[in-house]
Amino acid sequence: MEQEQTGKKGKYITAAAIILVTAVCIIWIFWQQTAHTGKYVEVRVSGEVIRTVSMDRADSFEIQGKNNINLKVLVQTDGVRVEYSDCPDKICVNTGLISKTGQTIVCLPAETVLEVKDSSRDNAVDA
Amino acid sequence: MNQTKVISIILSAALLSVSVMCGCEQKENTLSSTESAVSETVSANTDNEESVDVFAMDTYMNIKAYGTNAKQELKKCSDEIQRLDALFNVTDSQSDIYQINARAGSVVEVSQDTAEVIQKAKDISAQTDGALDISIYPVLREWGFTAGKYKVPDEQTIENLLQFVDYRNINVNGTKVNIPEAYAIDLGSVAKGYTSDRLYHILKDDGITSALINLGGNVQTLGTKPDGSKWTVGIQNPQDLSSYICTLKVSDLAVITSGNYERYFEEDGKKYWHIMDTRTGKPADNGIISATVIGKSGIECDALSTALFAMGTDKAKEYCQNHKDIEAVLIDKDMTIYITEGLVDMITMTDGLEYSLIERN
Repeated sequence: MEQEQTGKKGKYITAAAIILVTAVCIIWIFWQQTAHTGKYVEVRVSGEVIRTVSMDRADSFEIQGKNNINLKVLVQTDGVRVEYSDCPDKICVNTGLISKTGQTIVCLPAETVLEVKDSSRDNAVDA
Repeated sequence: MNQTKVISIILSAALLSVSVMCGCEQKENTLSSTESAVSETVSANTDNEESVDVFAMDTYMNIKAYGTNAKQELKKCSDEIQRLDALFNVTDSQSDIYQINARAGSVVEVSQDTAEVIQKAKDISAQTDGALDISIYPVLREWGFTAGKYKVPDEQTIENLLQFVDYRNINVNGTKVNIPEAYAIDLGSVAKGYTSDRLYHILKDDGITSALINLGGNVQTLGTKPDGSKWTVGIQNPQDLSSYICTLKVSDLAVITSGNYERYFEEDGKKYWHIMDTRTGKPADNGIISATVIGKSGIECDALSTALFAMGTDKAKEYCQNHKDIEAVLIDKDMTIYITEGLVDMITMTDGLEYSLIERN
């Protein structure tokens, strides 16, 4: 009778432990996933990093490049693009959306570079 | 009894996996995606990566180097780029090239670098039967590619200018250069390749064992990545610039592409690009839309990528068949991809694409 009760108790403890472990696993996996969407866009003007913006959520902002050229940058979850620029050739605007780590949008007249980076640093392509 | 055993095995397995995960978790913490942590990984990562942007030679350049002295080395590189740009810049009245053109018909004393680049360009012009010709400049200027004021010149104008295009009339004697009157030269097709060679040697001589030099898409790799693996260089898909047709695993090699998408304008629905057919004085339209050359020497790869592009599919393939010392990836306008035999072990094609092999004679 007593032995049976200890057995029951043990089962409860085991069950509780399994539930706890599962919960920890689920939390860990969730945390891990959010940490791994570590993509961000780095904005450089004449070689200086002026801004880093996470690509986890939509955002838009303006930057002033060299030669007083203004650019409007649109960050979406599927990539980054230059929506507008004062520059004469609009190559930066025409580059369109970039999303892969290492990809860049360059505006030569504004000496401005937008580069997709990843905090987990596992570049598929180096250049 | 049996049940308890099973449960305890499951439990210990679960606990073990959690403890392993916890180990990862701690490491992962330093790479969390918050903005402050991000800037930290950029400036102070474990590899001592340093990176510099340089805007010169009408393009965007980026150099990455690794090691404790990387920062000073990159400063040296950007100084070297500025120095060479000042020698080669065709519109800067202080430059060697401007002087050669302004004083066409007489002998001009130039720097060692300028003389060397012109001589090398002449050699490759001879090897490629004039498919590369740095004296095409008057034609290129007429098309507006130098100032960005694009126009399609009339036939007669092109015909007249072609009289003054012939690399064989460029004379180099030591550091003395002269070109005939009405001639003009420009180093746009070779300057970046030469510059990447110079940077490679500066870094290597100073003990850098890992660097990536990217001069507006002209790539030169030094050594391997810090972890010892090779560099992965992508070749852009000319029809979708956000994707690659293939990647190449390389170390200590230059990978240089001439593409019809790099600089062009459109008029009446037709696309005109900056790589000229030196025989017709019009954009080279002989089948190739992208030519990549892979080799030790940046200047050779640069010059040959232009030459192969200008030659067109048939002649470029023939050139590759007869020259075992170069490796190339040629993309035809129907998107056929030709590669030389030496690349088979380095190349990874994008899913769904295949290559056709150029076999050596």
